[in-house]
Amino acid sequence: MNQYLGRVPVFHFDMYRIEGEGDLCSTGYYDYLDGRSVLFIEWSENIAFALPEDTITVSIEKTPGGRRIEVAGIPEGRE
Amino acid sequence: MITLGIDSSAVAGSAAVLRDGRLLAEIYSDVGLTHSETLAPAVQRALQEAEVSPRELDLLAVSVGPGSFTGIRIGVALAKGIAFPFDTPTAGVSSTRALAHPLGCFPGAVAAVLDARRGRVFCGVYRQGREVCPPKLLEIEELPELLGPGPAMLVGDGAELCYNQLKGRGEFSLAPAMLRQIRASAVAELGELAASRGETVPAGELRPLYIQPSQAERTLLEKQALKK
Repeated sequence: MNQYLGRVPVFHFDMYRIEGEGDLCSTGYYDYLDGRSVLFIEWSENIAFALPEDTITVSIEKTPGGRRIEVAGIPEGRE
Repeated sequence: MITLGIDSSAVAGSAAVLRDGRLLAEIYSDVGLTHSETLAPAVQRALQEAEVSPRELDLLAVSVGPGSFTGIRIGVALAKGIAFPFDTPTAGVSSTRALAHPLGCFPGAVAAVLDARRGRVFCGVYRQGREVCPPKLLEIEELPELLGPGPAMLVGDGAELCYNQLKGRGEFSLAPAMLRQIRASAVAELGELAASRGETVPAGELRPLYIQPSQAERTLLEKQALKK
């Protein structure tokens, strides 16, 4: 986990090696769901069971001409 | 007997020095900084205020969880670091018991609840200082059944969450805000009680109390995730 402390604290997690709840607990992930911080989570599909309801998902896909970025879950009125 | 108490098992952190049961100094902060920044200075300051050096400590009491995974690791590691050089005996105190300790005079049940996120809490139940349910991880919705009928006082950083979610589902009351967080002085007092029963361990044997979901619950959660 990397942290970037500023006006809004940002925490970066890489969940590539996380398999299930036990692994997840040992990263301290739940300590950072404090409502004040932004979490950037790579391989978030590995912890789908533990993502908050207001998660914004960013999918990046390679295409012949470059890449396609799809953003889902942005709350209404905040696009 | 001189005891240093340390707590960092939730968002707040504190350090306290007790001499023969009397609180000499206590440093408490809940300012949103991480324990890795605040806890060691708090210990140093409490020892300075009490005019006690680490060498003079007879006991090191630390809350070992359940609670914040990172916080528990920091608290237990710091306690070990202070205890090792002088072979100071240590006592691990459960964070739920430390929360309930100041409410030992309450006639009903005291439910010590720490926010475990996603609608869950770490919960231990106490009656007049006696542990009637050791700390475990449960859904907030399971709390009324666990507590049964009768008045129950909620303490801990999950108290307000439970109180709001369970309104009208039992005789719940919220402990006063100043009693709702763990205090290192309570950890130190409980450590002394444990020491009087001979329940101390060398620093090397001090263990955190991480409570994680059972395998059955993990499997269920993962199945639910796959269905989504």
